[in-house]
Amino acid sequence: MLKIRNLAYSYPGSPEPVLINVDLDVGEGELALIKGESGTGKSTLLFCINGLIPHVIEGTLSGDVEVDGVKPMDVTVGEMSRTVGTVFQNPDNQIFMLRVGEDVAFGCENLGLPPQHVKERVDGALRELDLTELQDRETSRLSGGQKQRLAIAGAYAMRPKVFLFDEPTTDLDGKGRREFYDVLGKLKQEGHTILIADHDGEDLPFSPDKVLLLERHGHQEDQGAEMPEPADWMETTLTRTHPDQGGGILERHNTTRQQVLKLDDVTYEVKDRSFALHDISLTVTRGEMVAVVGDNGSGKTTLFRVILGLVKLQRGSVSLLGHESPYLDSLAGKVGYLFQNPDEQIFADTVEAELLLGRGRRSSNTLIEPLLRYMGLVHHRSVHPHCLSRGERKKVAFLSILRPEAEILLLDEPTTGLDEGNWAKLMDFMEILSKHGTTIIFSSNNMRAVRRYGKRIVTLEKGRIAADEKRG
Amino acid sequence: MKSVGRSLLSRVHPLAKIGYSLVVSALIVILNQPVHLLVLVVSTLTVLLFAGVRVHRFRVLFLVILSIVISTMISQAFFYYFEPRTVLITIVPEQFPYIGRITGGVHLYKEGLTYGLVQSLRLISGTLVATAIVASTHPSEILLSLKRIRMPSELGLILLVSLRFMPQLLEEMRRILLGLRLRGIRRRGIINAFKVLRLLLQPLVINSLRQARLLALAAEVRGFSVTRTTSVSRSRSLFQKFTTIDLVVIAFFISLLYLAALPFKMGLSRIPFIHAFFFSVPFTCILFTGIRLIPKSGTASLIIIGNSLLGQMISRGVNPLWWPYAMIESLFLETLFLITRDYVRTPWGASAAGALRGLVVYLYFYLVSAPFIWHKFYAGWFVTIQTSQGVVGSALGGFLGYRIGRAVEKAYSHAFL
Repeated sequence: MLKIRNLAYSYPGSPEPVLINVDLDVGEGELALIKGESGTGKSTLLFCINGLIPHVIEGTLSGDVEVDGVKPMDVTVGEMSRTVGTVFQNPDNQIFMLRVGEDVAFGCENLGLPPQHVKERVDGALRELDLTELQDRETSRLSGGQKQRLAIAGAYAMRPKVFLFDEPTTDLDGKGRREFYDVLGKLKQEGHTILIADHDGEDLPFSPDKVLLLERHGHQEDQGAEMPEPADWMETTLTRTHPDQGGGILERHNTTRQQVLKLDDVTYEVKDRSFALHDISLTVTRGEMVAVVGDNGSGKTTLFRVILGLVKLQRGSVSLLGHESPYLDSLAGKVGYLFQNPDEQIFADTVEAELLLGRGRRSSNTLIEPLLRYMGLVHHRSVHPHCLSRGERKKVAFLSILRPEAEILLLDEPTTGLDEGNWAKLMDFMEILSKHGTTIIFSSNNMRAVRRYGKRIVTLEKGRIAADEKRG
Repeated sequence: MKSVGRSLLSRVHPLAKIGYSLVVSALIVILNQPVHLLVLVVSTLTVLLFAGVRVHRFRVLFLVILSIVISTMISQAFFYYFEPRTVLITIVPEQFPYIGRITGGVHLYKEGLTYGLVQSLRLISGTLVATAIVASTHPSEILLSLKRIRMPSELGLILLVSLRFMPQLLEEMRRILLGLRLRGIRRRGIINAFKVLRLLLQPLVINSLRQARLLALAAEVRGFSVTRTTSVSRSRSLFQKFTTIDLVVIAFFISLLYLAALPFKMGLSRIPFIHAFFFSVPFTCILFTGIRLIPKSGTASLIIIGNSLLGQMISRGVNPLWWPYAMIESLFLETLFLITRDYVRTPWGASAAGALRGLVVYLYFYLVSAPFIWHKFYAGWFVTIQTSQGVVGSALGGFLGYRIGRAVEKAYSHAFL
């Protein structure tokens, strides 16, 4: 069904090829897993199969690709979509229409099918993907798992023989993943050929028929390998106080069990009930490292908004560092918040300027240098942050919220977009900060990180605290 | 096709509702007698009752109407220049140093109040029609109807993406502002406000470009391309020079423009003497950033006309009275950039183009649109003040657009790798 021979590809302007001599054969009805770290060319390989390379994304391409007898180079991307259906990582970026049924029809209409055929295919796809009841629902009101199913339905309606999935479960919670694997099982049963690009494919419920491991060529992310063990290094470097230069970030806070955050019987709900918290009571003391877990929509991000005093509560009260809400402006610098998407908190033209934004240059240079070194970004200090990889941008955003005066850090999905080595480095740092009195509250779907770093795990279910477990 | 709510009006075909809107818009221009206009208001109000508008919305609507009546009556009472006219109150006498001489005296005229009331009836009719259509029609229905009457699918995609991603952009905007606040950067003061505007727009535009690229790829693998035939329309040569990514980026700029104008739609525009400047800065800045990033003939028109259509679909109801305004602005900028070939490439070119844009749109509004379409009149000195603000604000916005566009290009040139 799929035959790839000697495939090589370089992006325009890039001196190093992303793919070199790739060979792959996948038979009809087989499932192939394409493994590899970020930047190894997994998505690029899929783009070569569906024709986006070279028709939409230019570059230097050589070698042969053939899918069911069709060469992507010889036909348009639209024509290729009749054979190959593609589902990307983030379902939000592939839903176009405002309602479910309309979105499933989008691809069929683009193929120029007569309206009656479009309707038949849409009805069929909705039925197969269990979306018939949601046909008239607004796409913006679907859960993460439902959106992923809709994205698959959109491709399914075009009746391709081959499905390409680009990191399909990265943005999904446990429930969404289960929903996705159910659909995957169904597609496999129907005899579709399936290619999945993933970091490791560990969660995959089926054994793949083929595994292709891609490795990085050329550019290597600066890993900061020359640094000694984080604990020793940070204790000696970051705890040094320089009174005339603002001091280190570990020295400031004592570690007494002082209460820093108290939510008392908090209830918050928006009109359409899309975001809600009910009867939340939670006390967090200085230096605690709290993991907040729960499916998407369970209220994790809403909880952070409540803690920051950004919403008007229906009932209850919040006290943060001794201030009653609203307190945000008076707590600037004392509270750090890492967004899930790092690009929303990158403002400056260089990495260095980004870390200096909002603090004095003189007082912070001594702090910035070791932080950049620890995160492996020291060679990028003069580079525009948006020219870095997503993982590196995440590290920049993380460093930008670290301040000597920060007493509490809120981290929304801090491990997303980072491979294990890098998220462990970030979380190690958090652990040391917490030992020195900074309170850390992080939300995550990454249960490995939660189990390793959460000294207390708060589980949210439908906006309520279902469990609050302190661990040794 | 499922409609908004279960009201009687929601069951009427969207094209019929667009037709109704067009008829009322024409009557607003044609009718001149207060009695006729009153009948028009009563009839549009009757239609609104069948639109399923909730009671609390009526309260908001009442406040909007009240503000329209008061602001129109006051402005027309001051600026009325037909004869005979009777002075009720003198605010600034003609002999008053400087201001009196420049303005020729500021008086409140009795006939102006009556004229203002009549003009209010026109504006109220427009508002009621818009509310009825927006309350009873999902934007998706309007779009599908427009597609059925052969609206180019490329324009459909632009409007769809603008509509679909607006809530996401708004949320992103909130988070970016929150990030700035948490780092102690605040909006207080004019200089800070401009700094925040730059710090807000830069990441917002870069994020939008990243997302636009992914969306465009997703559209392509689902068979969308600017050069193919679809079930509902055939490709138009107008769009041939644009790539799918261009169209999606344009859609994001349309959403951004709509969001930038939101505070003004929600009341800021009723504050006299300042809104022309403060509106022109973000509007021109976003528009010019878009033009710099897609330096092609047609970009300005697509952003401006798309923004006008989007506003009408979401909040104002389809109203052709505003179309000439968007067309004049588009035509002017297209011609200007075609002649100068400077698609916001230089700071002076961007500022000058911004200033000229301000001059054209404000003069067109106050000298053509307001008196001949809305039958509203303004004194020469007021028009001069507003236009000057529009010119300065647009020049500054053009310059900021150049700065942000340049920074985004610099950041984004390697971002695909």
